[in-house]
Amino acid sequence: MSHQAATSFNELDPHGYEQPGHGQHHSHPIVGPFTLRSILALLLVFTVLTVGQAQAELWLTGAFEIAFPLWVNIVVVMGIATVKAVLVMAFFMQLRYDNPINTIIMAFCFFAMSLFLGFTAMDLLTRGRVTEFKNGPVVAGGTGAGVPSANGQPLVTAARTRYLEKFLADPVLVEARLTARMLDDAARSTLAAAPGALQAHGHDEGSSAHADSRAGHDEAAVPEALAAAAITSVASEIRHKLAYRQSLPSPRLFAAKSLADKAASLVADGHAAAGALVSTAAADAANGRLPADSKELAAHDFEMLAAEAHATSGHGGHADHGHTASDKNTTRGKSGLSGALDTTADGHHDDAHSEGGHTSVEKH
Amino acid sequence: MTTLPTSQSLPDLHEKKKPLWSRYVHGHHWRSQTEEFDGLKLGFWLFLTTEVLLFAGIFCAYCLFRAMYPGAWAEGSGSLNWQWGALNTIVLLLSSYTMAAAIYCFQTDQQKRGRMNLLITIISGAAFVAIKLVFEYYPKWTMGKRPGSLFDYPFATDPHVPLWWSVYYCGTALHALHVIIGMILIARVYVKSLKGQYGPTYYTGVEVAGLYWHLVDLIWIFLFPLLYLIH
Repeated sequence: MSHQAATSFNELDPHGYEQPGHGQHHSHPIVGPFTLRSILALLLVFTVLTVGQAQAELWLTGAFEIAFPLWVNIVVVMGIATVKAVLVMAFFMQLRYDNPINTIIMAFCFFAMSLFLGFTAMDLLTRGRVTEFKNGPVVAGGTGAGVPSANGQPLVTAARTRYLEKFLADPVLVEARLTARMLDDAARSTLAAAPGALQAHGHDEGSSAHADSRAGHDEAAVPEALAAAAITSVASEIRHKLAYRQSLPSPRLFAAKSLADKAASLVADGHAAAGALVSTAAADAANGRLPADSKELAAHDFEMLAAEAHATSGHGGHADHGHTASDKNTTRGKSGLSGALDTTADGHHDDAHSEGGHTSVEKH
Repeated sequence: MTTLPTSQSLPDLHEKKKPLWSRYVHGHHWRSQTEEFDGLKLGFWLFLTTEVLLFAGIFCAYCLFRAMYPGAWAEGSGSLNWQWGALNTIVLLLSSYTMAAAIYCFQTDQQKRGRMNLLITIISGAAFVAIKLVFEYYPKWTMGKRPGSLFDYPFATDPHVPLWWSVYYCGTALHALHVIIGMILIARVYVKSLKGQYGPTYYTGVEVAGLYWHLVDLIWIFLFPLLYLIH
């Protein structure tokens, strides 16, 4: 892009913008479809890789109990994200072909961002270095201290308390969980009526669902086992709806209808005896007496719902997943469901919250 | 009296039939169209840095709260469905491609294909927002998985989970807002392209809207693994 020497110097155009070679858009490349498609393919491959890494790690942990340190996940996933970002910026945003000043600006922006993150981390994560008491979680706001609807409890405890109160009082909710309970009982008594062999499986109270499904697999031909499995599946369907707060306006009708459907499909599959048992249960669900309610039963039902919610959410089973870093800082000691049910004032963190200060300290 | 050399030739009445883009003249305060294009792009990159720094606040909150309350973050990200996140990633990547392809089409004067690509980009953006609202926000909100003091999910165990939801909603909603703004910008480009505004010698508007759209994609490229994949 020489300016064609002094001969063509024009004082109205000292930088030679009008000279040949400074024409329109000559310096702006056209990024062709082949490049663009290749980049798209690469980006999609990296997306599959990053999802695959996260899933493979969870699977390996679940299947072989290999505990990966958290940094493996973070480094791989963020590394892939960085590569993808560079591809997008270099080719889609054309930084590779563009005036370098744009790249410099963006690079400086990321540098500024790292300063921002770095200095904040230096402050927040090292507060305990000098004075130990400054170590610990920042409480105000985060867990609900000072939020009126939380009644002075941490937000999580307050939400649980609210729900349990509703659980005891709301007629539809009460009907729903009592219906599920009634179905459990029906499944249990159906199984008990079966001839000898099935009793050997022996199921203790509360884990009837597991025992039933096991029986269903082992003794698929026995009508009682088939019927019990069908009835239990309707019960867990109701619990699932409750756990996910889906609308269930008349639980007993829903149960009767689902059971009738199940009975029909059992009969259609040639299991007439099991179908008959299930349709008896359907009639009972619509007209039978609901079991008596009590606070303890409600708490137990809540526990089952919580198990349902945890089992089916997102990754599934993440709660058992090893978190190397988590043990140090959090109070997950009570993460079990017995802890979840603990709605009285001595929940998780209450000693810390009752102080009501701006920040407070927890000793582990 | 001599005539001053002008950078612009006077409009030729016979050339009225030519498409708008070929008759484009740069603003009078620029020396040339190249300078205008480069200047506008430089300005837009500067604006994009402020966008990155806006999201940096959320990334900062995410990183530090994760370091402080890993249990809450594990529980929170565990209750997200990576399938929806991955689907949305693919939708955004495809739309980024169609946006880049639209620029290529206008550079090579393929008006119809260019407009088609713009349209696909807008539809992808709408699909992204729809997936987010219908399959992510709505079920979570009704279950009580809400940010901060609105939190009402009874089955949570870690006391700092509401904080996770605050970061989740702030990050994704701010991003979704950017998707919507991007859609509006591209729709504007689409309308202008109907009049033949963009072509081989003038496509600044498409280019700038494209940069914005790619930034939206860029942010999601980081938000997706941070929220959905790190467990």
